[in-house]
Formats: sequence, structure tokens, C-alpha cells
Amino acid sequence: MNITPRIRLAAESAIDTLMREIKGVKAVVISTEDGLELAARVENTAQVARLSAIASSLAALGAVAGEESQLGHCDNVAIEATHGHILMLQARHPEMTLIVSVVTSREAIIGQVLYFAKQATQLLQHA
Amino acid sequence: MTAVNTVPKSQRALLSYSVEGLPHREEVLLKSLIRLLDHRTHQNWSWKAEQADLRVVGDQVALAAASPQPAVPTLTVAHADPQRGPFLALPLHTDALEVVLNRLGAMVVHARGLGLATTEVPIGEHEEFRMLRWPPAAVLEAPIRLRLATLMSNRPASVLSLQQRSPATRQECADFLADLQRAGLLERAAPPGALVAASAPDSVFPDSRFPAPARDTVQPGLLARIRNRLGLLPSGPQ
Amino acid sequence: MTVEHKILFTGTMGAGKTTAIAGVSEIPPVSTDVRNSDTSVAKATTTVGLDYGELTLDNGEKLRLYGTPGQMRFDFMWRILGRGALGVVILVDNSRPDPLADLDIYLDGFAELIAQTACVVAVGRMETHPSPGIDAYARRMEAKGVVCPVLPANVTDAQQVVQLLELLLLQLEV
Repeated sequence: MNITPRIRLAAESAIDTLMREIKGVKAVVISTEDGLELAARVENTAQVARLSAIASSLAALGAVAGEESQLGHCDNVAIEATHGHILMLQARHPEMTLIVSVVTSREAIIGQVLYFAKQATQLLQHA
Repeated sequence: MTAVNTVPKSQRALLSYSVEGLPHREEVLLKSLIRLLDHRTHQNWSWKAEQADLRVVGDQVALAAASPQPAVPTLTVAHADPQRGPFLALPLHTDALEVVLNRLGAMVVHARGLGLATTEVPIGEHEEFRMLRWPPAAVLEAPIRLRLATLMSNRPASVLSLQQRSPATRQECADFLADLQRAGLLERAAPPGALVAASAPDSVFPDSRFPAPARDTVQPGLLARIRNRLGLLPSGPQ
Repeated sequence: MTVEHKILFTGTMGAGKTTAIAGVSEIPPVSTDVRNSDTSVAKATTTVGLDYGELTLDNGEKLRLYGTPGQMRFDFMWRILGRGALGVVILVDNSRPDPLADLDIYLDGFAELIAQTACVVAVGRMETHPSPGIDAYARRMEAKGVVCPVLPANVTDAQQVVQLLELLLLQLEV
């Protein structure tokens, strides 16, 4: 992978922010759009071993769903599970597209997660 | 120098040779030369560890006691002729090798025709066999054989079952199985009715979130419809 | 409800999965290609979800053709896509450094599907890269307990892709 230091720093910084700001956050993973992990902070590493690959598949399928329904670009994919949520957003930096995945417990407030995650994504896009 | 092979490839006999008691370097050279000569020899020769149609031996290998099948010719390869039968002098020369292979090959084919040289068990029409490995190109020379080998890919077959499932003639099916046998690629299958393990063990996919694909029988007519859509001819006898 | 039938195409990046499907699909294939970030492979894009093509049969049912992502990190997609499939076509690129090791990955990754249905191994780029030869592939498969057709194929030629599908179907005949 050829990731410039600037992007790598921006990714680490985004993770710092999200882990700090989001109530109920369990993990934040930033990966390439083809499923390779770039940076991650997580309670238990086993949880996110394949999240990067899975997120990239879901993001790609989300894109197809968006196009097929003629709704335009897919910005994020949200999964609601018994014990929490996973939110996957696309950060389209000019050099490369990254995927930001945020895993939270059920106590997280979706609105808040979305707000901070989108903000972090915006910053990443302009890194 | 003999002319380039005029015998059509599909009609050349497939013969095997084994090598014993030759210095490693000579053995390697011999095998390479035989491969190189394949476009000129009258038969197709492939190496086999034992029970081959032709035994190639060094002069230190004792003959009579070691040969269980007197009809299997033995070719001695050495510096000096021990005067005990077919001989090829070292160092190896392609022309001499070609001549002796053709001569001995003709003998083997002739003996086969007389039912003498065979170390093979005759293949009954109903007998089921399993193909051990996808066959080499030499065995697959005729296009019909690609189909026959494919039919044998995941299940045992007999001469009759191959004939029923393909446009091949009974002789073509029998010849194919015979050639597989000669190449050491055939194994007798369990008799019909014997229990066979149906599926791979569960441990292949320990993750129970993704259950194994169900082994349904293919819907009747589905394959015919797919063939039709792809513009393929129907399978089976024509 | 339409009954579904599917055939998978798998293999390494650049082996020709998307191309193979495009050659026989009646719709322009849907693909989930994204930019390839793996600098060790000289390919601009890679499939991360699936490639999708389809053929409509004369009774209205669909034969769906799915191309899987090639990298091992997407093996969850292999399992998802493999469910209920009629069989799998494994495409190998003989110009890669160790194509037999590549083959091993898919023989292992799709072991159960192969054992229960049908498989065909198609080796590409053999004209320029003749080694390993077909017999080496056959022996490698034998070592894994797999016997199935293995042959050279150029998937840019749709007729050759059709032939691969035919060899798959032959194995499914009762």
C-alpha cells in the first residue's frame, strides 16, 4: 500500500477523535476500499480481524444498491444488531477512498455517532 | 534418420517403461531423450515405476530372476554389450534409442495382440472404476476423451455407463479405460450399494453462521435448459 | 418466485473472472470493482463484493453467474456466494509467481462446494507461460483429493468460457 504520511496521520487523528467523542464506541477501523486495514483502535482485536474486508464488500454492495435504485452515491451503510451498531462511511480523499467503520454498543445514540463519524470523514477527505 | 511420425497420434499405442540400475545422470538423460523423441517414435512412451511394458536396466541388474513376466522385454543400457538380449550402448544417442524403442515397441504391441504381454486385468463392461487423477494430454488426445474424463471426474464409471452418458461408442469407452489403466490412473471402485461417505466433514467450515451448501439433486430439465441457452448440443448418445 | 441457479467464478486478481462472466452474460455485468491498493499486483482495480451476470432460460428461470473476490480476506464472500451453487470455475493465471499455490487457496476455500458439486480449473496465459504444465495441476489437485477437468483457456474468448461451463454441467448429469 502506498499511503502518504499525511493521510495516515489524519486517519490516526480521526480515530482518536471518534474514540473520545462517541459514547458507547467499541471500535473504529479505517481501511482501504479494497479491504486492507489502515488504522484501528479497538477493545478486542479479534472483533475486527475481518471488519476491513467486510466493510469494503458492504460499501461496494451499498454503492450498487444506490445506483440500481437511482439514488446516487452510497454514503454510508448502517447495520443494526442485537447488541449494537456498525456504521460504515466512505471518505473520498482525492488520492484514495477510505472506509471508516464505527462499532458501538446499544447505548450509543445513532444521531451522535452519525454526526461525529461524518465530521471525521469530512476531515479525512480534506487531509 | 527416420521420417517424422506419420501414425496419427490417436492411434499410437501408449506404452510404459521402467528404469532400474542406471546411474542417475544416465536415467535423467534417457527420460529426457524419450520425451524429446515422442514426435518420432511409433508408440508413445511414458515412465512408470514398476510393472511397465518395457524394462530398461543397467548391466548390473540380474535379469532372469528379476523378471516375473517373461513376455516383458528388457533393454540393457551399458558401455559394453553383455550379450543377453536387446542392448543400447552408452553414451546415449537419439537415433539408436529411437530405433530400439520402435523395435521393442512393435514387439510389445504384437505380444499384446496375442494376449501375451498383458499385465493388465481385462476390464468388464459393468465394472466400475474411479479415475485417480485428471489424465495427461497423451491420454486425452481425442476430443471425445475430454468428455469421458469429465464424466469420470466426480464419480465412478464403467464402460457401459460411459457409453450411456456420452456420444462415445462402446469401443471408445473401453479403449479409454484401458489407457487409463495403463497409465496407472484407474482404481476399482466400491461395488454398487456399498456405503460411501456423502459429504465433507463439518470441520471444513467451523463457522456455523454460514451453513454448508445443501446437496440437492439438480432439478430435472435444468441442465438441458442451460445447455440450450448456451447453444450447446445435448449430452448423451446421439 | 423465480427459482435461482448459480455458477461461481473464482481465482486470483487478474485471472479473468469479470471478463469470463462478461463474455456469456446477457446483461452487462454488474461489478463491485474498486481501486487496488496492493502494490505487489499490477492491476488497477479489484473486485471486493462480486461480479454478477445472468442468463435467462427458456422457462423464465435465471442462471446467475457470480464472480467472487480473489483475495483470501474475502473468504466470507466465498461462503456466502457458494451457498446453493451448481459448481465453481477456478481461473488460474499461469504468469503469476506460484500458480499452484494460488490453486491451493481456492481448492481449500471451496473444498466443500467442490466435494458436493462440480469444479473446472481453467489455466490462463499458458501460451506465454507454459510452466507449470497441466499435468502438474492435475497432480496438485490429486494431492488435495480433487479430480476435475483442468485445461488451458483464454477467457477473453466467450466460446472457451462456454466450453468451461459445459464441462461443469457434464459433471452434474445424473
